[in-house]
Amino acid sequence: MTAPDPTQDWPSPLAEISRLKIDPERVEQDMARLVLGLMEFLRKLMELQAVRRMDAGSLTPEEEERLGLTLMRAEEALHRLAAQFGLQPGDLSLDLGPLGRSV
Amino acid sequence: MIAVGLCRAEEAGEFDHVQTGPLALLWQPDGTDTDRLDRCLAAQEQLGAFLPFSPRQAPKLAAACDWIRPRIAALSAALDDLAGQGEMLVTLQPDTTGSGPPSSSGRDWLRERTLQHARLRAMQDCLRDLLPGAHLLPTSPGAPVEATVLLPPDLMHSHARTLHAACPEGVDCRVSGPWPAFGYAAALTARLTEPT
Repeated sequence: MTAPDPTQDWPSPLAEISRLKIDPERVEQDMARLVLGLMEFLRKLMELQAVRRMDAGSLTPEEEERLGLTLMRAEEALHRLAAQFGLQPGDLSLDLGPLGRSV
Repeated sequence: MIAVGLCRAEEAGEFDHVQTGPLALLWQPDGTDTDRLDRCLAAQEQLGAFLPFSPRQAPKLAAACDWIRPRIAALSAALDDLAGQGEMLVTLQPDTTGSGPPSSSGRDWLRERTLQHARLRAMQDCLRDLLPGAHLLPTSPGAPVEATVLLPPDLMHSHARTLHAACPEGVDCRVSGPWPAFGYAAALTARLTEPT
C-alpha cells in the first residue's frame, strides 16, 4: 500500500462557510484566478464539444486542424496568463461549493 | 479553533470536543493541514466511528456547529455507516510511456485530446467494474482516476491483492488505506449542503 498526498484537496462545501474568497492583500491574483477559471471552464466545454464531434466523425480534416489549433493556442494563452499572476493550471479549477469544481 | 470531524459523544473521550446532541465535534487550535491530518488519523484509529472534515478546507468551530445542528439525524446515521470501517483509496493510471512528443498541429492535438478523454472513460468504467459502489473522485483527461470505498481495515490487504490481480495490463493500480473517510465525508457534506 502507498500513501496518497496527505493534503489532498477533498471537496468540502462546508468550508465555504468560513472561507474568504478574495484576500485584500492579493486582490489581483484572486481576481485573475476567478476570471481565468471561468475562461478555462468555457474552454473545457468547447474542448468537450470538439471531442464529441471527433468521436462522431462529423469534422472535416480542415475543421479538425482549425478547431484543434484554436483550442491548443487558447490553452497555451490561458496558462501563460495564469503564470503571469503566479497561478498554476490546477489553480484555475474553481471550488463552487455544493456544485463541485468548475473543471 | 478549527473543526476536524465528528464522532459519537460517548466516544469522544480525551479528544478536545464540543458536544451537540448525541454528536461530538472534535477541534484543535489553528494549525497546518498536516496537523489536522494527524488529528484525523488518530481519531480514525481510536474511535469506533469518525466522520472527518477535509484537512485542507476544515471549517471554523462556530461555523461547523451551526452547520451540524439542523443535520444531527443525518450525521448520526452516517456515523452508523462508518462504524468499524476505513476508506481505501484506489488510483488507476494508464501507462502512456508510448505517447509521442507534444503535438505541433491542431489536428494531432485534437486527436491526442480525444484519446485522453477515451482513456479517462475506460479507466472510470474499469474502476466501476472492479469496485462496485465506489465513490469516483473528480478528475480530468490525462490525470489519474481515483475512487474511494469503505471497508473494514482488516479486509483491505486482501482487496488490494484482488484489485492488483484484476487490473488490466497497461494500467498502474495503486491502493492505500485505511484512511479516515474523506471521500465519503465530501460526498455526504455536499449532499447535506445542496441548495434548496
